[in-house]
Amino acid sequence: MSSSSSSKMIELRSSDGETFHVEETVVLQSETIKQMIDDDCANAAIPLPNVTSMTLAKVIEYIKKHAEKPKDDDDKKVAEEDLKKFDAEFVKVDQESMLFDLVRAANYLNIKSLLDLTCQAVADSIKDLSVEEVRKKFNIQNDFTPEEEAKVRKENAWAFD
Amino acid sequence: MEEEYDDVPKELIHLIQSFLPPKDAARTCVLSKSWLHAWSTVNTLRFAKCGHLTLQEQIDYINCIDHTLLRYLNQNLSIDCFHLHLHIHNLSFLPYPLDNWFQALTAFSYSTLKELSLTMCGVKVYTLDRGWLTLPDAIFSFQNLDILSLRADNIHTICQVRVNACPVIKCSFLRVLELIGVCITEEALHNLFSSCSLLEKINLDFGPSVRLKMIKVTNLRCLCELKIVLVKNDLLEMYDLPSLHLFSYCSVTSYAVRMDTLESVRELVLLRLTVDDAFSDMIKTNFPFLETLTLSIEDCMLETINITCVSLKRLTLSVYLDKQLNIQVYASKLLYFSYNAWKMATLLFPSGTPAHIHLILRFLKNDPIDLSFFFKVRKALDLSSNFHIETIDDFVPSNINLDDLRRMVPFPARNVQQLSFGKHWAKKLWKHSPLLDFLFSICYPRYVKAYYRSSNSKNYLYKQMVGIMYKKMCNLKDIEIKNPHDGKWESLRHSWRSYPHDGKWESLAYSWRSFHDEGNNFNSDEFKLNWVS
Repeated sequence: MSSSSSSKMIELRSSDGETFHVEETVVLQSETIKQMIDDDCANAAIPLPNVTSMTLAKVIEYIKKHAEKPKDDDDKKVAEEDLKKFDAEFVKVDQESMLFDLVRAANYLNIKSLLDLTCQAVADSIKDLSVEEVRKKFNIQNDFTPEEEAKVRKENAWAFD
Repeated sequence: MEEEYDDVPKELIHLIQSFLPPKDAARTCVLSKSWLHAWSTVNTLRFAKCGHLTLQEQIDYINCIDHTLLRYLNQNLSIDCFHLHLHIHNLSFLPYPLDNWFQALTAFSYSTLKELSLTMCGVKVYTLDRGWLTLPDAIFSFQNLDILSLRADNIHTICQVRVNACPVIKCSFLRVLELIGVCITEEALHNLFSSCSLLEKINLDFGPSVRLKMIKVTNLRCLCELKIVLVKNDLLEMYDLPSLHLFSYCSVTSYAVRMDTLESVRELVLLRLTVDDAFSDMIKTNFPFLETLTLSIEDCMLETINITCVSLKRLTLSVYLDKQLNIQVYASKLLYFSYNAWKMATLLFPSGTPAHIHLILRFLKNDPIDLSFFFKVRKALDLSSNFHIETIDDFVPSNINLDDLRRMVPFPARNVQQLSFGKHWAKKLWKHSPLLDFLFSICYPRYVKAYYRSSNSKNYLYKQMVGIMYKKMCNLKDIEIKNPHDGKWESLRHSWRSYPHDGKWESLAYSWRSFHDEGNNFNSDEFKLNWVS
């Protein structure tokens, strides 16, 4: 284990009231929280009203993994491979809605690498699906009238052939 | 809990759309009104219609670009990424209004554009302008540009894409510059380097028609990656590059580079290299802290190639020469060595052998292999404790007597972790190839793996392995096969995959996959061999 005694712990509170303790060095990957710490607003638990405990637990799992530092250059290559594998597994979530929750959380917490990773995962799962399938999978309400939808399809006909 | 994604902010939809291929991204516009709105204001514009276009398709494509850029201009939208793919095959008849497009682009994204990529490819170009397509100067005018990529693929024989001799360069924060197949003058290139002093990555590949006498890459304090492909006897000068980490250089003829001692370089790639007397000295003196070296040798003036580098950890050597070489490596920290060549060289590691050696054996069609080839490979196998042998090409057997080989090599090596067969192995070669017998005469590999190219070559390693098992090779106890369903090893004798070894198809009924099941989806087979110790 790393020298956790020397590192300050930060308390995060999810929207459903659960609290999480994370090392400051780990949580600094979130630009949003970094800003709060810089502004000296992190003495009490930081409330995250937009993030559920389930999502926050996942986010913390991600930033903890990404905070591990390789010891030397030889380790670096191994660590990079390891991280790639971790990322690939990380976005394999049971429910598609979880993926979108993670996108939102990454956006709110401003963690660029997690945002890119999850948006890429959403894009990968949208690819090769029909419009209907995407709507169903991600629970997107079709608010077009049939006439409107036909018009949009016609205007972008090149994408639908 | 029912959740609606319509509350996903526009910026996030933009990001998702930017990760999708253009066509898939465009299709999201019909999902809902918020996705349509996001699509119509997307900040990544990519026009990537490829392939041979009919005249009407080309007109439609140009109109589509025209309309989109005009709409962004009128609605005062800005973009941060612009990709344009032009398929040029009838330029004089239908010129692309590049100047107008870039004028519009500068008008609405002068300060926002971060990434600009222009790819031109084509088959036939008939131009009035002496076969030149001149790019507008505006490509260098985006003040916050991060990445600039200009590529002209496969058209240089018919038409040449060029930039003007002295464009005004405003993109002084540029980090990544890529020029592939685009003509540029020395003056313009050096102007670009001196204006963009924050460059971190440079990738240059000039076509055969570009003649630059001298390229000076100097005084770029942030440059960490430099890849250059030059043609003919162009000279390269490199000075004051304190951050350079990776240097890759490709030149047809002799080495012509002047440089400082590049202490920061950890990875060096030299392609189409001619090895001469100066080569060894250059590695030793100019790259004192090198860790990874990749060489692809096309010519060699010497009998013996000497590589001396105390810091070197990984060495990858490809030799495309019909010549017997001696290779001496003085690198006490070497962990990994990969050798890929037409001829098996005599390898020497006087200061310590690497922990892992990857041998890629190639078989030339016109050059039948003799006994000495296998003998040399066996000798090389004494050099390390962990080997991976790979064969890429088809093997054409000549008159080698297996018994002669066994007499020559009484003790097959036991340090080969893996023996693998590349995708070039076709059905007819697998069927009668004695290669496995030869290879098993010089080594007892722990694992054997084959990658199949097409469905009709599938199963062939399997067939050979079963053959070998029933020939009862004296030192082979058992062969196991990996079940791709659960990743577990199973003895070939009681395998989930049956084979009519004794003429009876007894166990076929119990198998989930039979030998005749040619339409299977497995692109590889993996075996574990248990040898008598």
